[in-house]
Amino acid sequence: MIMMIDNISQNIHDGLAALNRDKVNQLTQLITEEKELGKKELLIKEKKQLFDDFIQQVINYIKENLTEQQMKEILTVLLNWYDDERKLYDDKYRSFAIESDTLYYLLHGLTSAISDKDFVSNTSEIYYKGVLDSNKFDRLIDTDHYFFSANNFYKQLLILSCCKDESLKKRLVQAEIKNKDFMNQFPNSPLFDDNILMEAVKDFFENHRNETESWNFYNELLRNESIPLNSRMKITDLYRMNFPEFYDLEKTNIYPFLVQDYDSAVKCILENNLHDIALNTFLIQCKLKGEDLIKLYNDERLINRLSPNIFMNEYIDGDTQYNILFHTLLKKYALDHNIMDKALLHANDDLIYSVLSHTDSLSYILQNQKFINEFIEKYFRFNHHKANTNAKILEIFKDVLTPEQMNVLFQPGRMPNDIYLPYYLNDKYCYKIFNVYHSEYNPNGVRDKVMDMQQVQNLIHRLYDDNNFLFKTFLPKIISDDIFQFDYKFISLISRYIELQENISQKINEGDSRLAKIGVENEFLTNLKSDPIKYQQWMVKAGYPIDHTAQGKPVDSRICGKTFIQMLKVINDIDPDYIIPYVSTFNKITTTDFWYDVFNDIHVEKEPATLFEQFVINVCQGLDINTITDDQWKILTKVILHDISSSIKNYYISVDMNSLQDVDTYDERRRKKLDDLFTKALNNKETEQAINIFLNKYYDMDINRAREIVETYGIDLDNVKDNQYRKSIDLIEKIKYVLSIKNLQELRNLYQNEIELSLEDTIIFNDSLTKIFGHAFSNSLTSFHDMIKIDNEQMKFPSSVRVYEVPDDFILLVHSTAAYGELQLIENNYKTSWNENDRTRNHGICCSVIANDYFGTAEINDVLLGFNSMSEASLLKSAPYDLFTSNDDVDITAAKKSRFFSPKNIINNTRHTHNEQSIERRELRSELRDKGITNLQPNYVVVYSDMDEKLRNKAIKCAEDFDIPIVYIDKERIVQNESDKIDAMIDQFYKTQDVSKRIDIFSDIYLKHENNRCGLLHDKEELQAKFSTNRIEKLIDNIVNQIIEDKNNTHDYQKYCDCVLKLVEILQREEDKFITCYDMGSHIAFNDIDVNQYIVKMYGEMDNQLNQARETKLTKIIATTQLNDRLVSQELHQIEVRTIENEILNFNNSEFYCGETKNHGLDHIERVTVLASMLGKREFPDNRHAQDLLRLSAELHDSGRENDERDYNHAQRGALLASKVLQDKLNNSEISQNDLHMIQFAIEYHEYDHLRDDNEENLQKLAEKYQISDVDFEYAKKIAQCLKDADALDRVRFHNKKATLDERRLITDAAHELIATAKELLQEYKDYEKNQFVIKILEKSKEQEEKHEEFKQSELKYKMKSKFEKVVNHLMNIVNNGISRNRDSIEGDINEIHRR
Amino acid sequence: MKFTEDSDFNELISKFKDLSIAEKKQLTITEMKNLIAVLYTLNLQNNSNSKVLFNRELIDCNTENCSEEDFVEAMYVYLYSIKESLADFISCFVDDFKQ
Repeated sequence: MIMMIDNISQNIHDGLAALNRDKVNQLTQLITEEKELGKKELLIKEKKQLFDDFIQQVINYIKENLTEQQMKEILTVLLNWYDDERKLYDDKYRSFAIESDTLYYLLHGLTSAISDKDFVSNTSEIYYKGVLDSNKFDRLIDTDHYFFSANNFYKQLLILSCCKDESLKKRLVQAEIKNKDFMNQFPNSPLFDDNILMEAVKDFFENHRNETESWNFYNELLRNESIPLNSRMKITDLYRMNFPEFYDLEKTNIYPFLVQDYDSAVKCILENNLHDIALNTFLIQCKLKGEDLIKLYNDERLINRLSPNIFMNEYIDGDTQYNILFHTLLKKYALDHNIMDKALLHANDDLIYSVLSHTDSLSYILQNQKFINEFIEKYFRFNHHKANTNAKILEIFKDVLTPEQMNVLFQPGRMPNDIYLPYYLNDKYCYKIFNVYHSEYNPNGVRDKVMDMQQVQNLIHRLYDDNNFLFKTFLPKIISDDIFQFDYKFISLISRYIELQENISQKINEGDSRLAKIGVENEFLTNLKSDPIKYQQWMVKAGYPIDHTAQGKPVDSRICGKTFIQMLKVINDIDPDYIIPYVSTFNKITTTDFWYDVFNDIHVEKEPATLFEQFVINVCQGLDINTITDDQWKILTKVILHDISSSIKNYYISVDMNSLQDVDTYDERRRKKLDDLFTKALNNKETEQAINIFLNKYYDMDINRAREIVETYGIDLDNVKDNQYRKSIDLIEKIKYVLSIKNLQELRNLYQNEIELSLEDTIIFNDSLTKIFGHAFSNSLTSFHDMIKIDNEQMKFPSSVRVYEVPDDFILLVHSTAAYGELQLIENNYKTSWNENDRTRNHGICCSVIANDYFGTAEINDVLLGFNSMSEASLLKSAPYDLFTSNDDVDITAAKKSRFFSPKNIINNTRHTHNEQSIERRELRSELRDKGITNLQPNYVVVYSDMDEKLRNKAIKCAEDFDIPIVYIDKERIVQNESDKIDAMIDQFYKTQDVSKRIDIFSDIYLKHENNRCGLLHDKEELQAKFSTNRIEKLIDNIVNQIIEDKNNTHDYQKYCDCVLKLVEILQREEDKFITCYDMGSHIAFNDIDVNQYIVKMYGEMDNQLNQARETKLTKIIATTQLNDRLVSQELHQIEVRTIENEILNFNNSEFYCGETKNHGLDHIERVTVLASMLGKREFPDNRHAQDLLRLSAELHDSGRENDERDYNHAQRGALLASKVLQDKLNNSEISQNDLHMIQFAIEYHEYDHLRDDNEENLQKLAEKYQISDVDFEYAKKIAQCLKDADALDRVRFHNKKATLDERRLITDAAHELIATAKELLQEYKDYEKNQFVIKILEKSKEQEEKHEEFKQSELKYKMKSKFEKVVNHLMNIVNNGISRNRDSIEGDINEIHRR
Repeated sequence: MKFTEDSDFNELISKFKDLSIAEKKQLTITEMKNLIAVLYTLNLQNNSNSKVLFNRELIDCNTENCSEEDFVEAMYVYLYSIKESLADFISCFVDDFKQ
């Protein structure tokens, strides 16, 4: 085949050569040079130009010189080539295509020539008519996406020929009618013919009797605006004739595409007498705009029938129409909060903003306090919105809200701190709130008037009582030197807030000397001075303010302070740096509301909530705390540490403490209790409980804390082992091991031989967890020593700054200063701003790790600062994704959990637009703090080669202000370098023979590729293009084909299994990274590889039934679960598997399920039915009737789905369809009409939000709709609730927070019991393909073994009569087994040579 | 040349065909080694200096996943080795006959 093309091409080539010898020579020379010298990049452009000229000549040459016969020959060649195209996908083609550029371009030339209109019209029509009439025709159309050359050629050919021949045109339209591209172009093309289209549509309807398929197709046609309206009307008639029943049902979906204006819309609605559901569906689909839409939504005849669902109208335009709709609904529903739910949940950023910026909508909003509350509540609770939209909303609110509304808006926790703190801390805005709007806090209402101290105190007290959040936020603003005029009680009150302490402490320190000078000694200072020196030293060293521990004051501060001091004594010999984070911990103990409540007289009588509370209430009243010994303090410290830990509530095991003696015996009694519990757990075979007790006893932590440690810090220990925290790393490994123990005997042995951690060890361990990784950071970041100093002039940098360039491989830690808000310069100086702006009150600096193979950072709107040295303790939080951290002055909180990795592995796991490393803003290195440096200072400013002039100049200014160097990154060079590295690895890949080793190389390539790809997601397209996923797909295809070929050749199934599982593991590992990093925001990255298709192909080699979406899996899954002792195994054996499978298959034939979908396919239906059956057994024991109804409801609950996403009203449609599907059962009296109604009731209810206030009301309405009698109501309701729970339990399949199972939403008790089972069931489905595959492999391997055995027997049989064997046996007697000895010696000799 | 078929041998070959290629290779190599050992042992009876022809290509086929190429090359070496050993044996036999 290729030879034929080659020959013809060669002929033409020769012909052309004669025409233009020079050009061809030039071309040939270029190709030779390219091959010899590898100068591909340089030559390609030149060559392209030459070829273009060349091709034009080919076309001209063909037109002018070829005979008709010759043209036919060319056509024949190309047609055959096209036929063979599938074969050409093999390696032969690839090498042909890659290496034989000449041929490729020649072919390109040929096909261009043939697609030339003039050329084709000159060729014989007989030939292509022949083609079109032949049986190749359909295939040509179906496969038009293969080669562009063939594709263009045939398209042209077909269209041209069809213009001339009506019957061909008809065939073309019939064949292409489902092709969207074709149908978009066809009506506007010269080919268009209304009659032919109608015939084709009619033909389609007649041949596709499946209603859904025809319905979807029909809808597509109606929405296709290229088709003239008249034609679409005719199509409607055709559909109505073919599917009268379905048409009637869905007619509301048809008309919206046909109505042109308000009048026709109203006419259509009224004439067709649309019921409410139909009306709203109509409006959702309706495409009217502007005045027509306004009129329609405000039509008195319609307005009272509108439902919130009309927010789903996909044609609503963000600028105006949403407002109109919103406006109408606001009016109609009088700001009903249910509407708000819908509106706000469905609206996107732009819509919300447009509503708010619309005067009418806004005035409606502002008229209603409840609305504002709802709005703020909903909008910010489900906050996935862009920061700048939030800011816009605040801007709007700021100017229009009344004081009351503003107060509502600023309720604590309403918005993420980083959004509105800038407003709070903006002087103008702050005073506006404080002095103008909050009249109750500003009795005089005059901004300029200075309040006297008493007024300020009153104000603060009122703030403290009314709005704690405002109190904490504004207090630092109003505290002045006059603080010393406050009484002790007040200072004590505000000192509880650690976030205020630094501020207060500063004032106290400043005031101390001044007050001393003027001879003022207030009570507070006196008490302060009486504190132990050591305490002060530690506090100062830790950078925390001095506490006010004192004698004669309430017991709280004395006890807590004393505890802290004792704590310090206990760990006296530990390096001060170790203890700094614990100073923070203990400060919390001594200052939070929690302790205030504990010791406050009012609360003394209450039931103690914690052990320390118990101690205080039972022991401390009237106790002289000076009598408490050091050992007792140590125990109390330990107890407090656990009391403040949030994870201890359920699993930390302690013993009572009702007297000082109890404190002495605390450890001993606890030990005994734990030993007893351990023995009990062993006897009851409660592994989890036994593990918990082990962890309690030896590591002084409960199982939850242990899991948290392993999940957060235990992922990447292998890569951080080489550091000083070896002891802690070993302990994490040990915890990991203990958590993984399944064998109780193993645990028993360990329990007898382990040594308890001391309190000091526990503290050091906890303290060192983040430092393990902080240490890894300080060792990994690229320093200036590894960078290259570059010539400022050449790179156009001023001489005032030093500039370094990064080496080829680097890792940097960078912070984008204005990623989430503008950076306002103080005194026009970056350094001053860094050290004095409001952010210094925050602890966390949000940084990202970037590297040569990953450039992702938060948005760069100002300067990008870099850090290459810091204290190991500075790393606060870390994850390979955005943690969504926020600061509240005291602490840094994150919306997502930290997962600590070594820096290199942060890059390898970041499948997000950037990773987040939260670095402590305070300078923690004592040597720098001693020099007065309190904030961590950046070490350099990053400049990218592609930064615009503005950013570049900012960076230069920043470097000058800080007097730090610029680090220059030539992004194009680095990216090219990375691409070259991947190319080199791919070369190595193809050179490697062994497929298993090839998979290993692929693993490295894939990792590097995905690092680069994800790191450039927000970058220029030309850079992204260097990491096209095609490259990876080709490699995977190569591996998959290779291992399948090897298997077919060798029948080595075990090797096939190993290779397949190895490849699948690599692919799934990458996929898992994307899942881990997934969030709903705009910074999302997707895996481009469809892992499943490869799994299907490879697993399918062993069993082509696998992965068939329309196959039920339950029986096989149950067979697999018999092999293990999982929870789900026992549950599954109690349900009626056969009935479920048969029914589902039966219903499935009706094609109601979205069988091929990901989220709501057959697997989901099966699981929900299984879970519903399990719930039925529990909630309706011995009630077969209820169990049957529940099962049927579950089987049909998603039958009304039309898509795999949030599909509104699918339950309602499902209920309707259920009546059709269950007709047989009804006719056979398997179910009654009443039963059917209860099933429909349950199905429709499963989409309702049962936590809404009007749930009961909705249930009643639904019961009325389905004529459920009062007697049956509770019964039907319970069935419906079980179905809802079963569906909810299968939400464990979702990863994102919003969609996954929320246990609080489960209704029945039984559902709570089944959560673990639901997870296991899902896992069984996930493992299904793999398990079936491995089973098949085992079967095949067993088959091979059997074959081997049969061979051995045949061999024995033949050897019995083989002459050779007889002779050898005879000789063996002579030479005394010499043969086997000699064979061994030959093998030995060979091996010996091998060794040498 | 007269050919003869044997049903047991046909069965043996048919079962051999069912085996995986790796097994087939391994069995063939084992048979080759056996044959060389037989010949070598026989030759030793007659000539204590008897030797077996060797080439390094045999080493490659000793690895678990030897390629088709390695296998064929090794077979070629074995074949020559067997031919030489067979010649040794025949020449001994001829010498005896001569004596």
